[in-house]
Amino acid sequence: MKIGVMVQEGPYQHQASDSAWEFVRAALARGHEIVGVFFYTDGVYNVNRFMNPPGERVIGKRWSELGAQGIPLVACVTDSTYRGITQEIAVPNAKISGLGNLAEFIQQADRFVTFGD
Amino acid sequence: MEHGEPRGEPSGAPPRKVLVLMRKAPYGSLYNWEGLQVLLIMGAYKMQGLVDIAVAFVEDGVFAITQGQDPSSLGMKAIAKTYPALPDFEVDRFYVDGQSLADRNLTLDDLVIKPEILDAAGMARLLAEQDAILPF
Amino acid sequence: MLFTVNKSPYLRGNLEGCLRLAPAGTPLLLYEDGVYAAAAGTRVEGLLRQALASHPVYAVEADLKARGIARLIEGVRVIDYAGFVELVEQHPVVPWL
Repeated sequence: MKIGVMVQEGPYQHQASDSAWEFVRAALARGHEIVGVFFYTDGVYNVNRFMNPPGERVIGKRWSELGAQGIPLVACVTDSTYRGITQEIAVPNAKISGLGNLAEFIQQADRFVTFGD
Repeated sequence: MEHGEPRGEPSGAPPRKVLVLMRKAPYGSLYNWEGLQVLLIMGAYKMQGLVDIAVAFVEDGVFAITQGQDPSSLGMKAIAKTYPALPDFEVDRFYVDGQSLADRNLTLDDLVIKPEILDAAGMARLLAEQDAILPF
Repeated sequence: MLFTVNKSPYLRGNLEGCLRLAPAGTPLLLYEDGVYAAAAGTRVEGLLRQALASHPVYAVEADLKARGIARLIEGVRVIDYAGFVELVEQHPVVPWL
């Protein structure tokens, strides 16, 4: 099955990003295709490559590793611009791009799941 | 449009049914505004026959469409003003939960648009029809 | 439809709100702070029992464990993330966040 995901909250402050990551990993383990993860609103902070929590899970890196497996990771360009997130400071395998990507993911997906507050 | 134009190819498949589900109040958080941006982009995809788009206002989401909003003292954009313009962007299916209106002492006359009022069963049917529900 | 609820029932009305709209038989998934509703002997036990009377109710194990919730209301089905995915395979999601 093809599954799309949206993350609407930033890392650490809210559990949404962790839940989404666990969900995506479990979906992959069950043989599903993740058509994309769209980071929207404060969710765009998930792709900040400068996250550096001492002795903790590095949420940006975790997403980047999923991106390396071929899962499209897109942070909304408008929300990124609002928050000072640019392609230069995004983790590898994450793209700063338009809301049209969200529409594309929805169009491709059999199921769509949103994690947020 | 800053978000870019649809790139998807019409596949001949029926359009995906997408519902923006507004349940949060405006201004206290940005969610309504972000939901509006999604409605605008989905309107562009609807023009291509790729999606079908509707919006439902439930619980505090009904506060997004009340008349008399003026956030100028907050330095924020007036969100409600955008809703009446949505049909120009191919978004013209508006629904509101009647109980949520009544709970807040509101009627259709208090709103900037005239959504179709649904009872609980009607709202449940609307939710059940969707391929994707996007909460804001 | 699969209604997903991630808010504590003490602080927020999410569980009550989705119960008003979810047709009988529709599954509910509690995760994140939503799992507090599954604890036995609380003020909101009646609400969850009402939910269980007409819906399958699931709670995510990792979220229960993280919060130290051990004594659950009878009938709540504990699932892992694979179980979450399985529910999504069967039902489109209605995120009641």
